[in-house]
Amino acid sequence: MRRAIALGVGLALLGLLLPGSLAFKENEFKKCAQTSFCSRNRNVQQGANFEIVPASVTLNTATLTATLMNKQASKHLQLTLTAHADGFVRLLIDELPSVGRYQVPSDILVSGWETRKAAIKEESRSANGVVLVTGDTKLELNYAPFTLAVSVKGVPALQLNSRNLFNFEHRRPKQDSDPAGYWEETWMGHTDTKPKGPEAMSLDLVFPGFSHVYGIPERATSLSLKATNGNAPYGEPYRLYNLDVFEYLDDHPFGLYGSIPVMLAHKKGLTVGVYWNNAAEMFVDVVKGRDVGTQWIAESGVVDLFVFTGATGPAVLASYAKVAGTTALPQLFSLGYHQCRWNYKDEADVKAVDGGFDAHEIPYDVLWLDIEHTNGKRYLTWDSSLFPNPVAMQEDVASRGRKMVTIVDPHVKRDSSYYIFSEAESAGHYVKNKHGSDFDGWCWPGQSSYLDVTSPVVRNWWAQQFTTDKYQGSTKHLYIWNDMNEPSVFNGPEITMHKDNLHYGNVEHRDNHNLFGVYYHMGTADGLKLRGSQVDPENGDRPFVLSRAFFSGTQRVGPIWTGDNAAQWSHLKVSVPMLLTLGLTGLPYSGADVGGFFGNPDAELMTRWYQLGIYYPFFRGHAHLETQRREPWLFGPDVTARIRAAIRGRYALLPHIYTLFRAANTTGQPILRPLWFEFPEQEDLYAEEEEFMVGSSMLVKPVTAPSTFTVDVTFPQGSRWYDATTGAPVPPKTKTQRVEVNLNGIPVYYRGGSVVPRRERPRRSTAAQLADPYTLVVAADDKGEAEGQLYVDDGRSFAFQRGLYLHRDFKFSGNKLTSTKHVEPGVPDGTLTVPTTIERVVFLGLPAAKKGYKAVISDGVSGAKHTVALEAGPLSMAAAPDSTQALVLRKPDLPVSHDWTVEIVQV
Amino acid sequence: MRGSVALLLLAGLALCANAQNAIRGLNPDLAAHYSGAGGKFTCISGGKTIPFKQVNDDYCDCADGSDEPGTAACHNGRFYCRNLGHEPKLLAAAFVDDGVCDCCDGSDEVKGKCSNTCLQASAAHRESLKSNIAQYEQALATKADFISQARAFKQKLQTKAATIDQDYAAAQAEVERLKAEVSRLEAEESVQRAAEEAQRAADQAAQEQAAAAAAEHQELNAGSDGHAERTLQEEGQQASEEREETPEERGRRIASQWTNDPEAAGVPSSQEHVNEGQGEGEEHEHHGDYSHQDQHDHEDGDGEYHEPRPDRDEQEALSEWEDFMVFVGIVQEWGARWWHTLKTVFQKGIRDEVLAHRERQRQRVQEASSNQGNQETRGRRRQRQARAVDSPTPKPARRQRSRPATASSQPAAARIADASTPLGEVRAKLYDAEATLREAERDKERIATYLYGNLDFGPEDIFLALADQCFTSSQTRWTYEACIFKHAVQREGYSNSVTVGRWSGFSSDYKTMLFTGGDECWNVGPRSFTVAMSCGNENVLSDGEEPATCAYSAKFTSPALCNDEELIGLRNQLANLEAFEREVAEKIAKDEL
Repeated sequence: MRRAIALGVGLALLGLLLPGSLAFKENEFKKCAQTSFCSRNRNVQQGANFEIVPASVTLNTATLTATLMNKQASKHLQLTLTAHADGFVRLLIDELPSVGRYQVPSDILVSGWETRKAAIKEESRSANGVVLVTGDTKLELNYAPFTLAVSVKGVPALQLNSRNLFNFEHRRPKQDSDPAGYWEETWMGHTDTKPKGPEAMSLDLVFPGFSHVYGIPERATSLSLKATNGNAPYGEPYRLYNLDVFEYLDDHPFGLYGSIPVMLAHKKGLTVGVYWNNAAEMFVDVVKGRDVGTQWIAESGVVDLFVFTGATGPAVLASYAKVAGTTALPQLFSLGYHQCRWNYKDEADVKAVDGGFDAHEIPYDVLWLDIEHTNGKRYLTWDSSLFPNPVAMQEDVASRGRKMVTIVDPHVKRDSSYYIFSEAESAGHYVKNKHGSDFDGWCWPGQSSYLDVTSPVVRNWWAQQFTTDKYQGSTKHLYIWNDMNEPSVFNGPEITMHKDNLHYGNVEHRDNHNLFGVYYHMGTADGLKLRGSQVDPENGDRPFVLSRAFFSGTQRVGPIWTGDNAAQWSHLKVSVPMLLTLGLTGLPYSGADVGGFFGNPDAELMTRWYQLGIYYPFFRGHAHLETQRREPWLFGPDVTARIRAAIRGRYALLPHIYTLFRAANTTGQPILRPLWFEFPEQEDLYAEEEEFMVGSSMLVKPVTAPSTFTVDVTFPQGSRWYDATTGAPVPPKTKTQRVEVNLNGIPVYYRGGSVVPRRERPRRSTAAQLADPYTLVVAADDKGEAEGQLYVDDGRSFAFQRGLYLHRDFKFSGNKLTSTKHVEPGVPDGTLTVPTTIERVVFLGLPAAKKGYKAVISDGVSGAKHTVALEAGPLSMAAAPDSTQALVLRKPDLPVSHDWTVEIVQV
Repeated sequence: MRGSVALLLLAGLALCANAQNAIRGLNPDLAAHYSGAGGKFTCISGGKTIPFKQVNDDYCDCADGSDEPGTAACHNGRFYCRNLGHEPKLLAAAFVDDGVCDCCDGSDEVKGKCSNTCLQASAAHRESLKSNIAQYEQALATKADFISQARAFKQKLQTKAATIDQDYAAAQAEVERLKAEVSRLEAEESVQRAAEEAQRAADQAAQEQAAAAAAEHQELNAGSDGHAERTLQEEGQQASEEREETPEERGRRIASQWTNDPEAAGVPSSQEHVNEGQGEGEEHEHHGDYSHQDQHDHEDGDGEYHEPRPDRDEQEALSEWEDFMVFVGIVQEWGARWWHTLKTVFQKGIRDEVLAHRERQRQRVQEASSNQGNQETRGRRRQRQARAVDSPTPKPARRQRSRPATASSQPAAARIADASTPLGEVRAKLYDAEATLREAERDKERIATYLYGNLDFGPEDIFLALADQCFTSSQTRWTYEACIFKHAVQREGYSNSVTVGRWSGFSSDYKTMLFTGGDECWNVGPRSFTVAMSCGNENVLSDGEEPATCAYSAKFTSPALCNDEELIGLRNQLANLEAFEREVAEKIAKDEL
């Protein structure tokens, strides 16, 4: 009875609290109005105060310099505009004379691009402006008021300060009349002293004639960014400030664990990208009308704006990659399935889970250990009661070709008997508080200090901690996970570090907050690189380090995941626009935790999440400490079979995925792509985020709601599509078609015009696939043509950088399928040969032939020919053994390393 | 010796190759399908026919995978390892030629890749069988002890039963008599104390009057300073009432958003796990004490000595309304936390939270008290336990050590300490008499439960040997405790516990214990706990978990579950294995010759 009353009352209270609980969450974090630098600039029209001093305008080959004056304050700024050969212009604005404002260190970007400049020509000059031309781009600089307009081939691309919202707060002496918030600010009991006073900047960037902008991760929101002058929560600007947000919501503008100040705008014929190279806290407003207007407000640093233009998205991303770098080519194992949980508790648990995958014949590559494996959250140590023999454990897992990962976080337990703590303390490696002593914050281990990884000296020391002799109990099979590197400080303001903390070079945390994560990630990856160079001095070992926090440039270091999501359908759904956005901002190697971190997914959610997750570039299942166990075989035999089929599907697709990673590695192209990226002329696809492309050849439509029996799939026009399970062509009816679904899979299609390499044998791991033959799926377009690629290397070392790789182009045209060597400009020629063959070629969309087809196979080396009949058969023995939609070339045993031709001839 | 084993292995391989000259990985049960008649092969299911040369040609033609028994070509193929000298195995085709030795005869990988370990595997199997048999024999001996213990326990209860009503009435009368005596002595004492108080009050009033006059004089001289001081003091007080969290408190609060696990959320260095440290075990036992008390609180008659405690009456007096107010307090306290936490509350049931909250309050009280007197009460308790009906089997030493050594026993200790006064002496007697009464009550309950309770104790009443005992299984975060014939609880850390079921009985085969009708679970109903029992050398509860929401399970081993048939089975297995080994060795030897 008592229980019943309590329960009833609880229900009533729950009802009252539900809406409120959302508000609570927001209250933990600052809004623009509660942030001095944002509120004093947001929508404040002060751009007209700034004018170019005409006499100061000087053009020097690729660079224009000018003095920009804040006439109200009689303050001079230096403006530098440079054209670069890699398809972008860069605008720098800093105080004149320099007062030493913070600039993002050069190691966040790549080197080389700065010297590759493009000539700027002066087209015309008047009393109030100058018109410059570089390549297809025209730059119109107006003196008073100061505005800059960029256009490409006469099409407007970008306007600066056209809404009069530009501002640049110069350094100044403190005065009694200064408004509140200039020199001090208090938030939830934390006082931020601001010894340098106000130094914010506001950038007013308008994308003329555009309707859609994308980018500025990380947040759980739509792909095409919504306006921020709407109803709550979209009355707040998007925020870029790396934070550990507990139980983030699935549709909200607030910023999460990482920041990339990159925005893309796309319209027919033109894609524009902007990158503000600034690591301070930043707010971005978006307003929409005939144009998309944006206002970017950063707390400190300088204006360092890159403007990329191109006819399409790929061109803009290639150009951005010249500055921020491309995705490091991952080890093949890291593209397999990762099994994680907070926590696999001891060695017996590890053995049981590892054995569970083999017993259920489910492939996987990596088993992860979360924070509980350590001795009291002292990273790089083991709880010896739970893991008495970590080396033997790793060797055992590795004996079946698999790897392990341990977590290593940047907070260091303050314990003088802990070697990491004492070594770093005596060397002075910690971030300092405003008084100059070691900062002492609270995190998992209790009182902690934080390695000042912004210092190259500290990173170098940190890297040395990962060699197998230094990291006791580690082996060469062990890789690393960096969590909490925003940094997360449980008792700090907004669960992070105080802005007046001090870093290497006396830099305030305010200036480089958003770099902490990438620098920690970098230091750790350098450690694994160092270890690899000891294990294999000739070829090394590519590092694998997963990070939660990130910034521009993280792609060169390793993957990220989208942090602590929840076991909810809405989180499954929002993972797609989140990952697409990361791909559009140069960080494609990313994933969301399959199953959802918080809470318990039911069997259906679990199934659907795996069916989507196999397309995540980073594919990991993870779960919270206080959730029920959810290894793939714990939901009953039917569900196990479905999840098994899904994960095996991932492994079958790995040749294609690895080849896509090579493209990301050479040209900065994303793995998962929004439809507009592949179909830039179809305006009705610009906001599509419920389906996506894997590379350019596959279309995926995840099922994102329970009890779904049909879904509406939008098929971009101009391409043929084939069901990726049966091979059946999609009837060319309407653009959007209702498709029936069951629990066995989600709708996936091959795009006509593609050749997709696969490996159909369901092995236990990527290592076990190494010698397996390939299958080629040739999906013809309307002209009966198709093309694709296959990239192969040792999957683990840096030998590919010396040309030890194999890259083939497959082309199907005029009924001839050919394999030729792929040549990539700017990379050394591939010289690797492997004994692997192609065991099966599957043709989709060949015109009907009365007596069928035969294949005439010519060996490119010997010129010998032989003929084999094509049979109607299944696309895949595993997925649809009874289907006869495909024409199958049985066992041609084509060598992947050599040229050959297969000619299809009617019998 | 080693040389001869190697010889045997080589011989084994040779034998293998001879017998299996045709089709790799073929399951002999299916050999009829692979005759190669007419140069054709028909897929075992599905009926598709292919040229026989396509069998094991490393290309999958059959939907059922039957054309490729010896390669990895088919996603659903099965590879047969003969494993001569050990047990044959059907392996997933996926594991064939993948660089990992899965079959002990190494036949799943290319020649030379794997060494043949079947004889070693067989030897290991033989040794483990032998050790199993030895353990089984020992377990059966223990089982015999159990049966006699159960019989003795029952007899003892029967003896007690004859006089229990009289014993109980006598104990009750003695308590009443002593209570009256205490009341009388207390009344006398309070009259005396009132007189003393009155005198003291008169003295104090006179002193205060004198002091007030002096202070007035001083304030006049000092001006407003006194006022300023008072204001500062008041502000200070206010500030400390509304004070902000310390950095540590804030850190802990934020950490607790992510997890309820105190270990995960930044434990203070005194409590955390230290690998080589000595202190840790003690800490944990200390935690255990709290939870143990929790059980005392909710469940009477658990066969344990029950000590008086200062907060006990208060606890029981908590009304439903107070429960509700406590709940409201929790909700308020958690207002700043997230929806997740609330959700957890509801998933686990509000009742649990109320109980946990009470427990936390009690802990605060306990932590505030000193540990004085623990030793003494522990000693007394042991004496008393000895007087109660002995449990059928001795308790494990570990549980003895974790008896609650709690501050709640303080009042008793205090009374004993002043036993020199007449009142103190009578109170001590009352204390003992109350204990005797409780023991009589417990005996009554035992008799009711085990003699007249109509419970099933299994064949020969064997499970009666486990009466009055509780067994625990500690997982990373949860501890499960099963008290046979009573109830089972799950504890979270050392603060929260939930009843996962009350005794429901054994399954008809005595292979399962069932506890049902536990605490209500949000959206599911009452909790339940299923314990799978098997033969083992000792009574051990293990593998406590929650495979489905609020349906808990564990494993229990006990000698009570062992039986002669299984031992005979094991002996037969060993005999067969040894015969098989001899046979294989002979075959090998003959082939050699």
